[in-house]
Amino acid sequence: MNITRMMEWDIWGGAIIVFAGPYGMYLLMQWLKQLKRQSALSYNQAANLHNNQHQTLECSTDDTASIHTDTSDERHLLSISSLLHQKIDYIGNQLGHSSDLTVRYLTLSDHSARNSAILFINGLVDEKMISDFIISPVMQNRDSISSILSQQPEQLLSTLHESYIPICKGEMCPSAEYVVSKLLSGSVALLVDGVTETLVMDVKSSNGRNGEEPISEPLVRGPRIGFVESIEDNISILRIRAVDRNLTIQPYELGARNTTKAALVFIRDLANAELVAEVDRRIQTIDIDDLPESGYLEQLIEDDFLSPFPQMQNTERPDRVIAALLEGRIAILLDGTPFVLLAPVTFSMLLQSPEDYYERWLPSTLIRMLRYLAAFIAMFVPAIYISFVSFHHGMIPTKLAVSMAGTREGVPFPPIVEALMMEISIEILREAGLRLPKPVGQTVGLVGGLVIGQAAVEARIVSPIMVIVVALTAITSFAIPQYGAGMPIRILRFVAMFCAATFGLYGVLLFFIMLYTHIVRLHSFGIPYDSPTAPPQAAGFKDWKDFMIRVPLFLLKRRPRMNHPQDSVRQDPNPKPKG
Amino acid sequence: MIHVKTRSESLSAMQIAVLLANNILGTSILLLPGSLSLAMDTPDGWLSILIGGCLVVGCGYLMLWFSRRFPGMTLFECTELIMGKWIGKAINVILIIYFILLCSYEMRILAEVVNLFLLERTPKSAIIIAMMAVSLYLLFGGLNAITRMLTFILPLTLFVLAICLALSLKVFDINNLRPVLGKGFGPVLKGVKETFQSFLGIEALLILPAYLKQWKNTYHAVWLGVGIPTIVYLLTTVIVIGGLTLDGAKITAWPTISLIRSFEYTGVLVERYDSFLLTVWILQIFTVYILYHFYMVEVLKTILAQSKPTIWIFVSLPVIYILAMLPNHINDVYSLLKYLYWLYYFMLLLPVLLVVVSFCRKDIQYGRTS
Repeated sequence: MNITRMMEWDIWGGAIIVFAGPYGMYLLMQWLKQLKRQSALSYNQAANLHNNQHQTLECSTDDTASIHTDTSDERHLLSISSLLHQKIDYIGNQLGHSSDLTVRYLTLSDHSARNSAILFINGLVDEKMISDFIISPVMQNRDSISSILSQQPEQLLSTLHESYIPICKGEMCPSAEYVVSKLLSGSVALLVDGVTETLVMDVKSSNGRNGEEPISEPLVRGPRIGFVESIEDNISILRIRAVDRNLTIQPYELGARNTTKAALVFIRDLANAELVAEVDRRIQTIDIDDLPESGYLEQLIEDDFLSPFPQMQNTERPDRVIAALLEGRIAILLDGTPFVLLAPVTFSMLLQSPEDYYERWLPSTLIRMLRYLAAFIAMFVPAIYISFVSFHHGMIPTKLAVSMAGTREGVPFPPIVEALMMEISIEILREAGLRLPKPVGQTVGLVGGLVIGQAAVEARIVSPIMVIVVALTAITSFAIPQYGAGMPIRILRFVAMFCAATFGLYGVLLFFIMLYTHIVRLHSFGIPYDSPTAPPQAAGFKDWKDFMIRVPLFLLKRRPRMNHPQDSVRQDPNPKPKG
Repeated sequence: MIHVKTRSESLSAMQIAVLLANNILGTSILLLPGSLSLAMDTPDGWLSILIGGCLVVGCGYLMLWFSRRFPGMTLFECTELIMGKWIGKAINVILIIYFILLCSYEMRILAEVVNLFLLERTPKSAIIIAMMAVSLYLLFGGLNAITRMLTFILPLTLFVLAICLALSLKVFDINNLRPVLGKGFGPVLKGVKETFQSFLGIEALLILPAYLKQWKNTYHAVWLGVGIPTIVYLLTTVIVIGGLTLDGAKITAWPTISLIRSFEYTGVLVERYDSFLLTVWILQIFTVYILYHFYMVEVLKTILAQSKPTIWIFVSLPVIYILAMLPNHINDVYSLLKYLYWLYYFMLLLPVLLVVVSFCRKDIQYGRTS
């Protein structure tokens, strides 16, 4: 049989490579995964041990205190009359038992303990006003109030408001429903046992703007407010803007040594319950001594530690957070950092900006497409240039090929070396520009780039077209709206360049397949990273209305399906004509 | 007697259509116009493709009917169930050989084309090894990852292909397609066989429906999954013969690429468009390869009764590689292709055999237990 090749050594060599290479890679990956699993395990065990020791040491002081508080809590709960308790419970339920709902019990008469309560939401009200003008007058005049309470309980609240509490805006509301909405707009509610009505007083805190415009995410059009370092302030920023009573704040205390407050924020009847449970589970597993920044949190609960792509989005913009919450995603706030984490995230979300929705749909659509183009250029253009220059001269127009060859004349290096030199120096310039003092930074960056580029071309170390390509990629990588989203592109550009240097266009294609395979395999909290590109059902293609294009707002009747929100309707699909 | 496996991954009808279309579209985009013209010697190839397409839709319906008789089971599981353990295993080994041969065939054609049009001096072994390694990464992602990838690739392919074909209307001449039926119906029927072979990949309908959750719209999926390749083949053949003339299509090795290379649009950033065509074609070869490799793993799982035959997947790689590298010349590949087509017909006829045997054997119960 002469149609097959004789058994040549290169066939067998290749066969060994094609077995050993992938298998070695597979074993390496398994080992890395196991490493992570093991490290998590051993750390937990170590921490448990540590905690146990800790507990035994502090047993003497701690235990007595905790027993004390427990019993006192129980007593109070028992003594609150059922009616008052019901009311408080109802309001708590309406607000999802969020951590920022504060209940302050008061004792109005001597006969029964804790027969009155003040309810308010932290951060929305001025606490000094409450203690000075509500609590202290009530406490000082307890005797007279007590007598009113025993004689004519129905008159108590109006008497209190008229004679004792010096706050100008106040009203009586009969329904607890209304009380909840007033609480969310910065009021304080005074509930008294045995009285059906509730006294609601406006004590809105007056600090209007406290956040500066975020430096990392500037917008042309949009609110000029950013998060600050305090978690209470951040939650109140969210509360002020999002008065939805279903906005739920679930508190955590993380960090074994430096305990730091964290909060999981979601909209209760919108966010997928499984997602919330999964995030909660992952946060519960965190066991670390200190969490200085939300980046720690992100790295501890992300899905794949080997991926170059961020699996949570970080933002300083409250409007972005609220928009994400309304799409059925969740937010994690950490005390001490203005960066809020959003999950789940997909690649398309990283290329979106809140401005896309503030501007009209046509410019937004075009700018979005421009961003996708920019991401493509930033990742692939140096690689394509290298493959054209090193392998496929025939594929570019002849005149261009001739002029390119002319400019490369006298350059002693192969294109990949030339490209690496320029790309690395521009990355260094970029990094240096971040560290330099602000007024100097830009100047040094620009001048450095120009001088290095110009001088390198004149010294015939690089070709001018290479400088154009590098400058183009540098500029396009700044068009990505988030810093973290630009990172994988910057990293993978180099991989693409190496692939192009080895296999030309075929290598770029292989790199693309590999990259997209990675994106397809990657999940962020259960959501495939490539969604909404390839939805399982044909109906999922409706998410494309808000993907590369942004259709007019009146067509975005439903929330994105990829997040599986509980309530999918954003605008009523069949609005009734008004009037 | 039988337990229906609960599969961790599931497909919708739309995804089956996408996988089917990806599975069928492969080497034939580049080869079909030439092989049809050679076999028929008339420019009536488009008629054969239309007839062949309808025939394949019919086949697809029959296959779905078969899958529906044994819901939740792949062909291989059916084989082991109906033919008994040992005969079933023997048949499944033949199917493994078939899938491995197909993988090797795709890789070899890929290496030939890349060697000819993109990388003249790179050895074929490097081209093949790189592609196999990359697709292994996707294979380990599971069927859902494969489906997501292919759902992305298919529209991309169709879009680029449509642009390339539209641009080649510059050299299109309707007179090259005349006379219609100049030599009667004889050549058209001869072409149907050729067309039927280019629909290699239809056997996906014997495997993938096992992953279906709901049978709703599955029959539409056949129309979509076969319709897309039919239209692509039809347009390609018409435009290639219209652009290159019948004789031109006969003598060139890769008629579609020759067509795209035969015209230039000056003054645009890119003058020639064959690189775009090659790009999407390589993507299509990748999809076909990954699907056949996936089927091979499925058979392995059935034979070995393991859920993760990891080491055997790695063992299959050098086998595919050696088989791909063995033929001396591309023409040898073509001459070996007829054995592959025998196996193709064998696999298509296998369900018939199984149904007949299952009618004879009364002791077999099938269907979902729940």
